[in-house]
Amino acid sequence: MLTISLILAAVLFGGLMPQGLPPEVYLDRFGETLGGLFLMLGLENVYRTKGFLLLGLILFAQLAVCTGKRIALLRSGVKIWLIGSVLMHVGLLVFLVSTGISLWWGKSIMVEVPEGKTLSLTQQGVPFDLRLERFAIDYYSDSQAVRQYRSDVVLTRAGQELRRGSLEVNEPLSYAGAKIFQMSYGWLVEGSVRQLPDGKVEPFSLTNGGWLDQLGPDKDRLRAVIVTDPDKHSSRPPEVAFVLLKESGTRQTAVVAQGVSVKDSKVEIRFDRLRRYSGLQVKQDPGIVGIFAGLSLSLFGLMLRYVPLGGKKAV
Amino acid sequence: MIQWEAMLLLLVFVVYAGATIGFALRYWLRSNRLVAAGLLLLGVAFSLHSGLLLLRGIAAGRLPFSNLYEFTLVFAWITTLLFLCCAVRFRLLAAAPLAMSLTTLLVGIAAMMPRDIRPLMPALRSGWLQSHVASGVLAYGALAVSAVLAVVMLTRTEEQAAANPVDWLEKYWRMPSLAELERYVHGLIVFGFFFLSILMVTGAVWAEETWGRWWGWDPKEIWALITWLIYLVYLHGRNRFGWQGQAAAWFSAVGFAAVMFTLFGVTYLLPGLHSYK
Repeated sequence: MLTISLILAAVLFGGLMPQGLPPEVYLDRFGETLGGLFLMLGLENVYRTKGFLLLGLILFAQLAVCTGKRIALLRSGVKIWLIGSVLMHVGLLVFLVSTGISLWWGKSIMVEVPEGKTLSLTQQGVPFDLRLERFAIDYYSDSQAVRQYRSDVVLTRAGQELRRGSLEVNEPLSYAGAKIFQMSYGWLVEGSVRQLPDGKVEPFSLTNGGWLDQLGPDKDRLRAVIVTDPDKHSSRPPEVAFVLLKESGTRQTAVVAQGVSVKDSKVEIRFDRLRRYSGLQVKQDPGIVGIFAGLSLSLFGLMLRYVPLGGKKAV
Repeated sequence: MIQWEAMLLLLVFVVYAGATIGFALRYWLRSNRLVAAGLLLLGVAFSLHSGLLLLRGIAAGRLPFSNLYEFTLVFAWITTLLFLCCAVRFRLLAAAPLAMSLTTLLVGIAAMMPRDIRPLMPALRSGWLQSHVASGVLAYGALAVSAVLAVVMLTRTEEQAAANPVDWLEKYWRMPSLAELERYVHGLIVFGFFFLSILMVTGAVWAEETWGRWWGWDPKEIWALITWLIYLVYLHGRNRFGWQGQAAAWFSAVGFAAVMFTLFGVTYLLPGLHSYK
């Protein structure tokens, strides 16, 4: 009971205090002393603290003991409410173990892939590489609202085709224990940079608002922001704003049309084109079946525990 | 669509408010005619409310489950239906002023929301939408009625409960004993907790299919978990330590405050992936 109450208090704390913000926000909002204390205790990410994990472990141990007691009670007579109570607790144990497996061994990779490009995922432990053959967006016939978006992909390994398939929002594609989810879509800004006077041309591909770091010997940073988005302004030619952030802190901004270059004394930046990408997530989660099996078992147990067939004795 | 819907919505609000006033006046004027009038108005309002949901569903070409306006209207409808079932089965009509106030408030809140019918975004185009939202409104409806009875418990004494005479309409108007009320509150919390659990499990399965993660500490998920844990603490405390009476009433009231914050507070104050306004 104490453990559940402490978990409730921790979740409530996270629900009331914004989580995952930069440290300076907490210092600014709560002051040096209180904000500093929050940061020292890791409360800006309360659900990732060791204390929260410890509560989960204590809950698991207590559930295991309670389950044992209930199973022992079954020997003195089988009652539906008692079976329900046992299943509820066993389900929660399965859920907690599977969550641990998922956190420990599960992994996911987010990728933005344009049509025709093959992503090498096998290097990252995924059982296939992925090529996006085609990406399509369906719109409702009577409005500009997006109805669905879909990626046609080919899964390969060492150049050999393993599987060909489609995925869309709510319809992931599964293969060999990995799942591919349709997450988003957008435009990649493709262009190139060249250090002046005689550096070589280096191509880049950035998402909207993305950064290109370590640019040239001065380690400048380049950001690309789409000004004219073809999804919103289909009649206008695409334009991109380049922001060059120098080591010294100075900033240069230029709005550039497709096929046009801008340059200063040190660097030339060229905007070649916008290219549609499909945002995908590739996920391997060995715990997911156990998580849902545990939750389902627990729900079934909860139903049996409280149906009026099993008597009123509470444990 | 929008014009007649606004008219019908206003009518539903006004008739529910009329029923609420009729039931409330019964406390002061002690006339059973007011109960009869309240019941008549409640029947009319509930029929209009049902018609509104039906027409909305026909106009949208789907169940009215896809935004906060529709959810709030269905929530108010289920709360009224569950209250009526409880009022008839357990003779709890005396709680009608409070229950109808809540329904009127919910319909009033819905009336202030955008009502335009928008096409479903890709994430909502899933078979899980119906089961997730249906379990949500059933859970919230039961927990709302339990909170209404809990407030009645907290504002009454055992002497008041025993003092009511019984005649024909008053059979349904009489206030049960505090022990009986507590039993109903508990039963409704169990019912609500079961559907709250289904709500969370279906939400997890759906989130896994749509976003590739079954849990993400999104504000709506956090507050749904807080609500679930409040009721879990109560149920556990009742089983282990025999928490009854006032404790049950307080947990029910606090739990329902969490429900309302999860539904409205999070949507407007803590936007996240679940902000389907």
